[in-house]
Formats: sequence, structure tokens, C-alpha cells
Amino acid sequence: MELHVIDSNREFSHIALSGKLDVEGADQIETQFQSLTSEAGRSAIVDLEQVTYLASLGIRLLFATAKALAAEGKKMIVVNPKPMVEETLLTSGTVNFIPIARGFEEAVTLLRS
Amino acid sequence: MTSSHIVRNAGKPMPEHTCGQPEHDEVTDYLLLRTVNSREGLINLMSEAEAFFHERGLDERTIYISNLVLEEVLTNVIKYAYDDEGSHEISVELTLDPRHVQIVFEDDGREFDPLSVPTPALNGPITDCEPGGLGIHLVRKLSSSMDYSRTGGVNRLTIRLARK
Repeated sequence: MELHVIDSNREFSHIALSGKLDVEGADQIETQFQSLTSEAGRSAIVDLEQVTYLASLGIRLLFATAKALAAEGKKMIVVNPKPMVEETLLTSGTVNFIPIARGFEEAVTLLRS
Repeated sequence: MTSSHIVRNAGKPMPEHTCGQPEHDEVTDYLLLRTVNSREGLINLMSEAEAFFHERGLDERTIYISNLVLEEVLTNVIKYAYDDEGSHEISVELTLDPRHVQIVFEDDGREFDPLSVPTPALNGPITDCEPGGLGIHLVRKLSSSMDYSRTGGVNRLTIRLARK
């Protein structure tokens, strides 16, 4: 699992994840992911296009981060998940709190809405 | 047994109940994996199972859901089933037929019926929600059937997934 910071500004962190967000992957990125988002009090745009697998430890990481951000009036948007990753987000019910955007522009619009 | 030891037993056993089974339920392949209650054990078992699914030509969606079920159930067992720090064996039996993947989990942890877990309430404001039970909720939604029994101090969870 890899995490790339595409942009980090006053408004949001734009992060791209790649690989499997499973028990091992969630462990590998958790600290860096949280320090860039919830601990920095910055909204997050998280590109999931290169994420090939998402299980509940990964969902829990996204959910816990989105929850911490919401407490600060911030948001998390995920971008371009693959079909099975999107199905997992939808089935888990967490999509109610973590909107899915098609592309970066839509993510920024959702963030500002 | 080391913390990451896997015992593998693959083949085509005669199923216990073959008489009168419809043709589509004929067992075509089988793998028994045994590991212990550790993170390394989980990762190794998942890797063995995924290689088996690929070798047997399962479609990507079925592999994805099978992996998800394995990870969720085993994570729960490892995190919550044991009151001591000791090593415990967990067995996972994978059976493929043309229409289904069947996964049978056995552990000697405390009695736990996943079917009794309430669906997590994820409909209020996010700040009021807890993601507890998310994994089991996902497994229930993605499975065709789930059965639980407790016999002789062993939890046995049978999950069937429809193949594409």
C-alpha cells in the first residue's frame, strides 16, 4: 500500500492511495494518513483509483478520519474508486458520510458544498 | 507451530453428502488451511487462499468477496475470540463448486454467533456513529448464506458465496 501526497494546502490535502487497503495496507498508511488529514484539521480528497481492494479495516480508517474531520467542520471525499471498492463502500453504508466523486473537480465542488 | 504456520491440504475429497445432490453442487475443489491467531497467520492464510482462488480460475469479483469474508471473519476471531495470550489454531476449509464458494471457519475461542450482531446504525450524523460491527455487516450483505453452530467448545461458521 502506498500513499502519495498530490497537494496539501490550507483548504485540503489531496492524497492518492494505491494497492490493497487490507489489514496490512491500513497499518502501513494509518499514521501518515491521519497526520495529513484529521491531525492537521484539513479536509481530505482521497483518490482511490489505484486501490484494488478495500476491507473493513480500511473502511474503518476512512470512517474514523472522516468522523474526526466532521467534528472540526471538515470533510472527506473519495475519488474514482474501482467498481468493487465502490460496491464495498456502498454496501458498508459508509458512503452516507464519505461522498464519492468522479474526478478531482467534482471532489472540490463537493468539498465546498 | 510458529505464528505464521500454514497447514495446507488440497484435493478433491468425497463430500459427506453426495447422494441425491444436484449436479451443480458436485464438489470440484477443496483446500483446508490451518493457521494460528496472529496477524502474520492471517496474512499468510489470505495469501494461500487467494493463490488457490486464482489457480482455480475464479472470477475477480468472487475472489474479492472471498478475500473480504476471510479477512473480516479472521480479524474478528483474532481480535476478540480469545481470553488468553496463547496460540490457538484456526481452520479454514474452502470448497468450490461451479456455483458457489463455501468457506467454513472453526475456532476454539469464546462462543460468538455473528448472526446475532445487530446491523450498525450508520444513518445519523457521522459524529454520532460508531463503525462497530461493520465487518460482520459487510459479510452478511455479501454472502448467499451464513450458518453458525457451537459444538464441543468449537465455533463453526459456514459461509456460502455465489460465484458469478
